[in-house]
Amino acid sequence: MKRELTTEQINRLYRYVNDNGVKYFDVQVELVDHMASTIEERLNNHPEHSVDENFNKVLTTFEKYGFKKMVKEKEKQVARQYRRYFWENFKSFFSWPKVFFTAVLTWVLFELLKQTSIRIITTLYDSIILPTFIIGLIYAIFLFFRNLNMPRKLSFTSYGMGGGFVLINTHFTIRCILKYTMLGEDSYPLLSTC
Amino acid sequence: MYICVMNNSQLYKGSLSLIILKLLEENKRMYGYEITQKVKEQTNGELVINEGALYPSLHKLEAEGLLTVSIEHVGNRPRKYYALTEKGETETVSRLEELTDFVKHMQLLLNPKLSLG
Repeated sequence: MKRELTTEQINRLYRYVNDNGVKYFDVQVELVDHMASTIEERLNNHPEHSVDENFNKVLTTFEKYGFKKMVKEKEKQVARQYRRYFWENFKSFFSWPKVFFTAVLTWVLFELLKQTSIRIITTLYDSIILPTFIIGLIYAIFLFFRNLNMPRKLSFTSYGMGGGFVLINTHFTIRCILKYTMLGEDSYPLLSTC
Repeated sequence: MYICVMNNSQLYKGSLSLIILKLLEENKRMYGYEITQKVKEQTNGELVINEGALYPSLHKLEAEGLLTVSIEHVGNRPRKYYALTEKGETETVSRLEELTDFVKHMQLLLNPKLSLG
């Protein structure tokens, strides 16, 4: 009869990889499955050895390759994957219908801003855009703590904690633009010639 | 028996991703342990891929968008399966062509006196 590991023994393997620095569940899954398959094969081929003997034998061979290095490498690859997704999305804005709508909407916004007084723009910014950023920031903080408290971390969701800082920076950038380009005038100084 | 540990040989290390791509092209979807067993079986145990080289390579191919993963419960544990994406399929074909050309050129360079002239 083919011997299989019990749930308890599988959990022992999960604890083992977790204690050895593999904190991401998606990486744990494949490592535990690999170890369990190797142990099962050994149990079937060498039934004379005890389960513990086979466990120790397989664990020592795995330890040799270094879990930490594997996790580091995984983090590097997840970062690459993020960059790839970012660029794919960024580039997609320059593809056909999108680039047309971007141009049209930018032109509409430009015309609207040209005719709006600075007071309305500042009020608009303070009452709509700023609260939106704050909500986004709160959500980023929520994500940060949720990831911190998750019993099982995934390599992909644990990446990208810098979101909150991007929002804060955007806020200050917009404030600076408002402050230094309008200089308290009623319209943009750069547009006065238009 | 000659066992090649992937980590030590640059030539084999470079071909590991191609071995994975080719196996996935033939078998549609596979899990890590299955890949190591298949390689051992097909090379009569002459080539052994260790876990320390296999998983980083799989993660790299996944990050490049050549592989997609799915997790399924098998027995009493979850198992992660890898399969080729559309991009992965075309990449496999072009990388195999590249390798065939490389082997052809290397043979010409290493055995230049094979012609019957």
